[in-house]
Amino acid sequence: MKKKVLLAGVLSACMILSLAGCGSGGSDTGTTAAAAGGQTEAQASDDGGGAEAEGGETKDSVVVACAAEPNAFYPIHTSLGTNMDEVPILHNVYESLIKLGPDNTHEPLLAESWEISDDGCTYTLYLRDDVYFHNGDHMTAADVEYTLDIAGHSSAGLAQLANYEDTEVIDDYTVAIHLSAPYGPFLNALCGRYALIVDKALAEEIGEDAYNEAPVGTGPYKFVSYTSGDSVVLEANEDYWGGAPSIKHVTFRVMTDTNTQMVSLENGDVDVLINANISSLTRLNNENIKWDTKDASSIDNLKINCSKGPGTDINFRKAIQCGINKEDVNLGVYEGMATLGDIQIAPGFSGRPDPGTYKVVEYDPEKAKEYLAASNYNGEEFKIVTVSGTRDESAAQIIQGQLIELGINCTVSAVDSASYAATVDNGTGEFGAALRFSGVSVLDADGLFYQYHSDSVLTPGKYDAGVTTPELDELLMAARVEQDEDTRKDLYAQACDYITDNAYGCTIYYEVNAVAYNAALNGVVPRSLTGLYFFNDWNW
Amino acid sequence: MVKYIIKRILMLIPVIFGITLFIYVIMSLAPGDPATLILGPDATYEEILAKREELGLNDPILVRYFKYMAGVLHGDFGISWYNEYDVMGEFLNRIPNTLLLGLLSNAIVILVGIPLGIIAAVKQNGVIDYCTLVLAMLFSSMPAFWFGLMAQIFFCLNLGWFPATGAESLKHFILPAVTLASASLAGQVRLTRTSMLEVNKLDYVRTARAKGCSESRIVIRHVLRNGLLPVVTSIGAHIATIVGGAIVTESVFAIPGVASLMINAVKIRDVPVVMGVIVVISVFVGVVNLLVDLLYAVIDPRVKLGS
Repeated sequence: MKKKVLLAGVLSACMILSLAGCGSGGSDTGTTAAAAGGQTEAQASDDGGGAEAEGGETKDSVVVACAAEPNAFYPIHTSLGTNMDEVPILHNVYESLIKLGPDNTHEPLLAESWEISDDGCTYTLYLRDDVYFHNGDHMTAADVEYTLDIAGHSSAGLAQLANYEDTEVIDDYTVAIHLSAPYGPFLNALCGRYALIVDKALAEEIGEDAYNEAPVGTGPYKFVSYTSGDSVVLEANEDYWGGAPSIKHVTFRVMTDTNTQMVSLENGDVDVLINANISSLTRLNNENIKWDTKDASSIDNLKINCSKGPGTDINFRKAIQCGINKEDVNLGVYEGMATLGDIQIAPGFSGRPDPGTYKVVEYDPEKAKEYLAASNYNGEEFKIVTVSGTRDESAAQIIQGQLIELGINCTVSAVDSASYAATVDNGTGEFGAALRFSGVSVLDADGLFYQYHSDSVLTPGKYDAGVTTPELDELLMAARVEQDEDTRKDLYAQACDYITDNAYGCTIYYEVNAVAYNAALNGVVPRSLTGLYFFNDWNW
Repeated sequence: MVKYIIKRILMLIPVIFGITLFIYVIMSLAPGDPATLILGPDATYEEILAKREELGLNDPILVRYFKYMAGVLHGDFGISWYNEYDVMGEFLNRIPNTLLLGLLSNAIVILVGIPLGIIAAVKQNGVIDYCTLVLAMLFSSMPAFWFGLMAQIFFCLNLGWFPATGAESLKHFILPAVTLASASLAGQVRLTRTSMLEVNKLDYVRTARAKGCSESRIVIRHVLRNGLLPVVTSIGAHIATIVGGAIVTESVFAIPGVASLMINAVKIRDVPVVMGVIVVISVFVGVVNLLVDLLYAVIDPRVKLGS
């Protein structure tokens, strides 16, 4: 009997423990009260069938899902890793000098107007005089100088603010940005994350780590809290110079699983997916959800290793170039929603040559077989390296099937992104071809510079896939500093022809971004860059 | 008894060193240079070299490992290479979610699995027995990500009973706990049934029946006590796998727990975070196993510890 009592004791102890667990779990989540509040409201309105919450009050909160955890909240932090998922948060807490509109035009933001000198090396910006940081500090030219000097002299910042030299403070509300040489997409760069202005006085007082914990910007939203692995909460800046935003609370929820994101959108836990899965959306049958797409900033290009393996033979490369049926890949991966690719410059990018001015290789399996027969390919393994669990992996598998049909012994090796970088970008080069989307955040043809110019590709520590030549270097450098739009397009057409003729790779398609949202929410417009969503454009 | 416990705790030390060394070496040999991953594709070669020096990546693996373990022994679990947060602080922030999930799912396994198993054994070849067999097969064959998704669609979208994601209240944990429990629950029912049936055939049970004991007394006093031993072992093993099993569940239900912390850190080669989680988990597993062995002695007086 005594032993039975003991057993009962053990079992009830388990129950008590689990109850105790509930208690502590509950109190621990106290910091996310705002998130919970926003969510219940979302559900209430969903049940009500519209934007009106119970009691007829208009809803004023929004929950946005992001796929990975945000890392850094201080845009010019010198040592933290960065990722794409924090960018929309940064663009609402901080502001850039110029705003990139939905159609990729330049709109005034912190700078009311700007002038570019005739030599293209000096950008004079006239700043607003009525902008205050969330802590009350006045935003002046000194803050702009401080921010750009740090960003423009870091390697990550230089990849956007290329050729940046220094910033000259002319008066409190005028700055002159000097470049060492003209840079075509510099205005686009001034819309990006490395031109988000921070408070100089505060940064110098508390340092970048403390600033990162409690970010202070000039943007329409103030940073409230960050719960690691769970959410970031923002609240409206009622004193915002552009007027108080209509959405008062924004919660960024981390949801790594795309199916989970869709379920949450459908049941109203989440209001907006800024990077939604297109395959799920095409099967969606729910009138409470709207979605829309736009050409993204990223390009899917099958990069062939021209230094090692079968890819050293140009006939083999040409066989691949015309042996891939891009339409099938698009159907299989993107439900046919992506735009098929021909050159490594996405539609909508500045500097993109007009159709007809550059060479295009059409799909032609017969010709591919001829090229293959002309090559000295002897059936050795041709390995496509890609990142597992991504759309690129599906694309690689479809391409594998097509190449096998041509008679190429093609295999796919899907690895995690760290291993991918170690194989393709920095490592041993043990690959036949590599497939991974690559984005160009300045939305310009200059993206080619980072793929093919020896200054970027032949640096120590990087794998040389054999795609640089002095001719290509010259074309890309000339196009980078050229100011006349037509001459620039012409230079890029020549560069693309050079790349196509040498069959360094095969551009499969340009990716599309899909945004899906609660149909009652107004003002959501899809963007080429998923980072550029401004929540003060939205209202219920 | 005390001597036995001390001996077992001392035995934990080499076990933990073995596990951590193994993981440390694997993490260090995995392709992908942490310095390059932290600094991004635009970093210069000099910056990467400087970062490698700063992280101590140029030392031999064993030197790095012992430096790391020296820190751990002083209670310093280091900071994340990637986000620079304090590893132990972050772990403690997240462990309540994972523990709550694990305890709830274990509670479901124990409180539902054992009674169902007993009923299935007592009513052997009856309707309930066959039903549990079918359900057990069904649940244990369903992968957690699929079961979780179906549960979300049915209970969240169609019925609206539970929230689909998050960790704000106990209600948020019900579906994830059921998902996590489903696979082990089935196994638990079958295991309980089998071991009950085995004991049921033994001589002393027949004797008890022969002398006219009531059936309920036989089941509770004679069969259950002896039949529970393997069941306790399996529960111990299940508790030990809380973190591993929760990886998929935490991802599907967007719960900020330790499992998602670790899996994310593995992807970006954030060695201090992975190691911190591994050290704590291996201590935890060691302690749970010790408790299971102690529980044996409580349930079965024939088990003598330490002799």
